[in-house]
Amino acid sequence: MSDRYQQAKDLFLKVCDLKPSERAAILDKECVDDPDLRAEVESLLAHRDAPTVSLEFDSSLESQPISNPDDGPKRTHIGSYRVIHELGKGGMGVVYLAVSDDKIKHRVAIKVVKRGMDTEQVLQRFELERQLLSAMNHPGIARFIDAGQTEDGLPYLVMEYVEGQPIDEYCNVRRLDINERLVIFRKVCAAVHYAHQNLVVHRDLKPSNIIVSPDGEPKLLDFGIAKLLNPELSIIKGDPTAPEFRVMTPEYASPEQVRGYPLTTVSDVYSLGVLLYELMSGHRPYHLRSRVQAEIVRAICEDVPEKPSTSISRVESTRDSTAPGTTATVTPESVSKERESRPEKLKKLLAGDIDNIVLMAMRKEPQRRYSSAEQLSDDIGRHLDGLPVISCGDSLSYRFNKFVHRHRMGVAAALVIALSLMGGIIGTTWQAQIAANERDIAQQAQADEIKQRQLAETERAKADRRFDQVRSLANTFMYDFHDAIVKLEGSIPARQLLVTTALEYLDNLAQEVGDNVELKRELASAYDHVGQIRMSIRNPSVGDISGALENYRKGLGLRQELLTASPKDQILSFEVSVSRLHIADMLMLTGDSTEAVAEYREVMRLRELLLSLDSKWKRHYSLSINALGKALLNIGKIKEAKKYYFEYLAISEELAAETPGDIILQRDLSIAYFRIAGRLARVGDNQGALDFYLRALGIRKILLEKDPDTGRAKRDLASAHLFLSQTYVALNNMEAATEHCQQCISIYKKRVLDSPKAVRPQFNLALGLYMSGNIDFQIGNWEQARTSYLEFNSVIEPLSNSRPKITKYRQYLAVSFSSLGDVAVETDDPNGAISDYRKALEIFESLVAKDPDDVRWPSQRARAQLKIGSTLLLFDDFVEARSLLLSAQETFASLLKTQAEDVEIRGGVVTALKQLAKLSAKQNKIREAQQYVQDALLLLDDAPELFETTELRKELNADLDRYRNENN
Amino acid sequence: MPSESDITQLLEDAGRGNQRAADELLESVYEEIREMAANALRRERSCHTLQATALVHEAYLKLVDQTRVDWKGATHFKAVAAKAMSRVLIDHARSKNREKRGGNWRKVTLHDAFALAKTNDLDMICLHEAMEKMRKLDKRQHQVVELRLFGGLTSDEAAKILHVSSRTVDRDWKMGQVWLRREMNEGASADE
Repeated sequence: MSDRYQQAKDLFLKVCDLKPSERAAILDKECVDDPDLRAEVESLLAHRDAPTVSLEFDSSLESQPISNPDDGPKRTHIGSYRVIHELGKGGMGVVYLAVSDDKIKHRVAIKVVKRGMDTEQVLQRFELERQLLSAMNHPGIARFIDAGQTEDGLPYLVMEYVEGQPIDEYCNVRRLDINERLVIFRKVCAAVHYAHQNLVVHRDLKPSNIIVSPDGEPKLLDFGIAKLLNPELSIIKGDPTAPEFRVMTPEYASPEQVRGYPLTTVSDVYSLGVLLYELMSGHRPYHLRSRVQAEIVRAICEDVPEKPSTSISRVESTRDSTAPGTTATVTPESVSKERESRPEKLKKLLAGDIDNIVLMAMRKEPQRRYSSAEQLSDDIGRHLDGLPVISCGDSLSYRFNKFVHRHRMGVAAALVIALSLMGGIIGTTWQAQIAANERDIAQQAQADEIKQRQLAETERAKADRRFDQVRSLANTFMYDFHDAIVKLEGSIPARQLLVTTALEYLDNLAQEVGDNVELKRELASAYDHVGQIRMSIRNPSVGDISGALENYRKGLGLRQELLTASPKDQILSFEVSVSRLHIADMLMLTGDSTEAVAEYREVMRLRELLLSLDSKWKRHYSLSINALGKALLNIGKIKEAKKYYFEYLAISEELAAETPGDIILQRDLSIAYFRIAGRLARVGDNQGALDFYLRALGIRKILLEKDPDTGRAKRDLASAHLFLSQTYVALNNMEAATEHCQQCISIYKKRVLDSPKAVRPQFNLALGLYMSGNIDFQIGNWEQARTSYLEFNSVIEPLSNSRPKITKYRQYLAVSFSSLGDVAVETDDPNGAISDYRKALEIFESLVAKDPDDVRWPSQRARAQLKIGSTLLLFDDFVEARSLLLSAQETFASLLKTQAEDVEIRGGVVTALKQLAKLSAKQNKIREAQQYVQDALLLLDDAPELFETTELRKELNADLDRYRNENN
Repeated sequence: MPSESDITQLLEDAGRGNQRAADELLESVYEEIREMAANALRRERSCHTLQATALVHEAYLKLVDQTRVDWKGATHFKAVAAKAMSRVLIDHARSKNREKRGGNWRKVTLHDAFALAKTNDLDMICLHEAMEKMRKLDKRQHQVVELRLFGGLTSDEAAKILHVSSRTVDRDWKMGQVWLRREMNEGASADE
């Protein structure tokens, strides 16, 4: 390895300062039989030539260049390019024509970003984008070559230099007729579609970015660059004279873009629509007379553009694109002449298909546009072939088809949405401002009688649009997209982004809801869903309880308002109870159990009422008493809790009995038994747990008889055996434990034999082996326990290695090491134990690091730390032991705040304190030791019911006595 | 806290080949640099505007009696400080991560989560891991990179400390930077 390294190093150093062509010659010679070596050296060379920011702060011995407001010095060289001359200045900086310094002398365009833009951020964004951009290789897209930083610290981008004319100019100067224009436009669509498939959105499509070569091939400039240079490009800042504002060409910007909402590929479709409008008619769709922000936003978001065929009759003076600074008058005649036509003929050509196609591409609502540039192009193709086009008049029936559209957009679009979110297009303040402006405009307009009718129309349109927005938001973002990623490991940051973005929409919408009942209802559900993303008991969530609580409360507020208006609406009443249920769940987590219980009671009351009206609410009522029972358990009202548990059970049994043949209801009942059993085991009531596991086993046996061929029934039965085995271990009935364990293992083994490649049976088998080890361990058969644990380890390790992303496998791999460590401790091999425990700890550390927001790992990690720390005490390694024990104790203590009823967590803190006391005593810090034991005892006192049966208290009291004696 | 003369004495003893003095020197300098770095980070909340090499130089001026120490001692000090600095940086990055996933994991607000992602702590940990990997592949190159990157030594100074030619140092430095850059970039992209 090291020799190979030296070989690569020598060769790299030999060629690294040479020109590319010379490098190649030497590499050809030196790596004749060694492609690996060549690959290694080339990879190093690529990184030598790549710009980097990652080590910036370390090498900052040289003083930082001081920012200077000018455009900078006259440049002769940029990176390895020689500057020929300046091509132009823009809002973003200066563009130069340059040639590469090597023999080939490529001509390139280099954009040097001007001062005032954050260099570091531009480069960081670039790092994210460069792979996407450089992956784009299409004849219709100007190639993105490189990026770097000039000597005076300005970022620059190197792009293919393209010669030709902007597309509008090209078409007009050559007097291309409508069909010729459509042919060129379709080529533009093809290039845009290609980029979209590579997950790059242009964001700034306009004629000056589309250059047509003399032989008629269009090439798109600056793909994805807009985002690179300014992720907020889509947002017009308050000051309309700000450079960002001037940079953006609002005429081509989509409604979502001027509003600062996330951009998708269909935003580019919109811009293509505007471009097509202009190519066809010679006019722009909107009369943007002023550059006042609110005016532009209003026009783009609300004005219905004239049909292209109608717009040609307009007479307008516009800036002359061929001679900047002058104006030209556009008349029906001039427009027609540029299209080799006459006004009446042109009007006929455009009316119908072309009008429909253009206006469909330009629809205000993204989901109602063509779903892709390709679809737009195809429709034009159909028009050219004389076939019927898919676009048609803007009718209400579209509203019912939009969900179909949404799905056609597919995963690629969803990813693009996510990527644009990553770019951080967020502009709450601005959006609020827009909202305010809209209201101002609305108030002014009210004075005007004629406008009032229009306003009513607009308002309705606005409500419709908003309605669509919240729908597509709630559905696409929060349901489809979120649900698609919810199970992915490490998806929490992405989901967090979804939540923040979603919330901005929602809060914005909430201000404008007015009295639209339907919309309020949607909004309330959306709040509810966002809340669940932030904190949910079922799925991995962000863990932001207070945020979730706020969302749930907002949802509740809306729902209650609605309920007051229609108090007899059962569904609404139910929804109110759902909001309250979620709020109560959160309160439980924050430790406000009393408040939570009050909420749960309210939920129960609401559902009791519903149940009295209609028996269909029975199941929901039962769920509410189940939740209430859990909460009561938490605040120590165990008797009342038990009452509800049994009522819950009774209803579940009743429901199952009402439709006895219903396998699913039966299975549900068995799952209910499982849940209750697990709950009881968790609070130390193993006898109660046993009872319910046995009942579940009974049901599952019957289900298997009814349906002997399904894998699920066998698996269900096996898992009942597994949990029974575990419960018997806890009850110290090893004989029964062994029997159930063997049953379970034999089912799993058969399933592994039946489908040797399936992963799940293997995993289940591993769990069976683990249980078998636990039984032997409990009995004290150390060697047999070790054998089972080793077997467990040998099944789980390859699973974990082949599927490193699945945390469950890694978790159990760690558990296998930890169990082996336990055996080692018992067999007087503390060194072996520590090494096994460390393996477990390492895995848990990595799980914590991978997803710091997942609640499960900190406690597992703390347990491993506790074990290592305790074992280290044997070696009198006080320093590491103390730090590990303290860390474990802290973790458990912080978890305890939210999971007060959990025996293992409470036991964890107590054990950690106990070990810390032992450590202090060993160091003769007796007073400290006493304090630790007293703290531990207090923790047990907090939850007297939970620890009735444990030995822990006795041990602690004995310890305390001993330390007291030592102190005297 | 060690005084100026303590450190200078340790430096002199270590220069004469006293291993215990060398160990003690490293510990003292580590403590000192950690303190200074913590202060610097408190002062400038923009996290890693912390200039490692400038800090090492500052530490030298503060801790060493320059009248008693020649260029050799100064270089030696910087070499020790480079080692200490790299430890301080990785400790800092790690402890921030620990905090992040420790007690206050629930309290990380959405906003903070973004801020955290922006700091270079993860880079720091990547860098540390890459450096460890380099140490195994090419020990001298690792030393060169450590001295230059964390201690701000010139190539001549590094050459004298390591008893090699400055051309060798330059070669190691060139290779080391590129190698690290690749290692860190690939580490980052492999992470998801």
